[in-house]
Amino acid sequence: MMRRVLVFLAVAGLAAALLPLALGTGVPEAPGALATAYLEDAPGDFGAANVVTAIVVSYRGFDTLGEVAVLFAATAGVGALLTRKRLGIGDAEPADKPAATEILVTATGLLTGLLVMFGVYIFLHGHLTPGGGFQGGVVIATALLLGLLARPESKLSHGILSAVESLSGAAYVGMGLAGAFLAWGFLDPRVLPLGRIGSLVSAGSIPVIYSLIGLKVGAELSGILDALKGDRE
Amino acid sequence: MTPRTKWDLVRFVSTFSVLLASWLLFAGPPDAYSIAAGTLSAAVLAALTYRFFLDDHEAGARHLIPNPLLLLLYLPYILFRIYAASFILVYDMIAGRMNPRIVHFRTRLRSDLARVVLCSSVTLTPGTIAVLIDEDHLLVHWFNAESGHSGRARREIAESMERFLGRIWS
Repeated sequence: MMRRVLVFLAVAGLAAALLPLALGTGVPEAPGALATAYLEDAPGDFGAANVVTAIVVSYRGFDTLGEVAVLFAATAGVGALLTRKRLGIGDAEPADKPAATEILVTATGLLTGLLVMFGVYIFLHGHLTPGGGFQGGVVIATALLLGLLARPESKLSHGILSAVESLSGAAYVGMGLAGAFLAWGFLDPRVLPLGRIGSLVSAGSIPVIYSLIGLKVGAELSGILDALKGDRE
Repeated sequence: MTPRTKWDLVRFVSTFSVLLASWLLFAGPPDAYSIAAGTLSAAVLAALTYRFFLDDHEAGARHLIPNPLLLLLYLPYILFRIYAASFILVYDMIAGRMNPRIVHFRTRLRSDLARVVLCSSVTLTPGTIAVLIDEDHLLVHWFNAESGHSGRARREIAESMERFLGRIWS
């Protein structure tokens, strides 16, 4: 009995403590000072029609570089853990996997190119429309997932994947350094002309950086999917 | 030019055109840069994927190129089928009528693409799921099977869609 009363009191106390928080929630009437500054300055500063992208790639570019690094670490970890040796499969050939159904095989053949094309569209238009490198990369990885499901026996070329991944990662850091030396700071997109807002070639190096992120994310997620098949050497 | 290279070229060019058309559809009113970027990525992707896009043994163009008008008409038709089947399924569930069963029948469609669209349509229609297709044999899970007879199942589930699809990809 005593215990129940104590538990009840504890819950009631917690609720009372959190009450002001609950009452104070709601959508603010106007954006705060920092958000206002972003909204007003982004078009003039970087010429990006999509303010979110200007924030993600430029104002908070360091944060995005960190996210890309986190994804890289995750990929490396998955790749190192899910090998045949660690999974205890050894050199034994896995039993014959059932062939995929014709629905999947036919649809995959038609869709792979279109999906990758859509991914490329998303990351190339990151500074104009919603979306960007991460989203485009995920769409590209979806195309590779379809391919792996349709042809379970196929193997991705790790050489090409790691080449795409490391080259685009290095180029990303290179673009950042170019910003530090040629413009005002690390990852500053104003190393390239800003162009006219809303056209494909605008917003300085933002589209270049987002395309590099898209390629890198696509290659990394494809690598994870391939490792999850569990037949890596 | 050997027939082999010629056929590869045809496959590459058709893949390229479909990809470029889809780019123009995504990117909206094109300017010079947009067209250049689209052409470049379509060319690279077509070179990488034309082998899967058009099967090596694909025989006839009529199996791949749809009748555009009928294809447009198929969309409202399948939407109607989906809605009609949802109401019937909800009614069946409330009334407690269920008789799940795997039925098997053969389709008369010849084109691979039409068969895939048929399977997707069967799956999209609530109450039936296309489990497997092997050549022209279809395995369908039917939530409220009225009969295990394959001719009857085909009539109930697929025949009208099949007739429609047969005219789209003849």
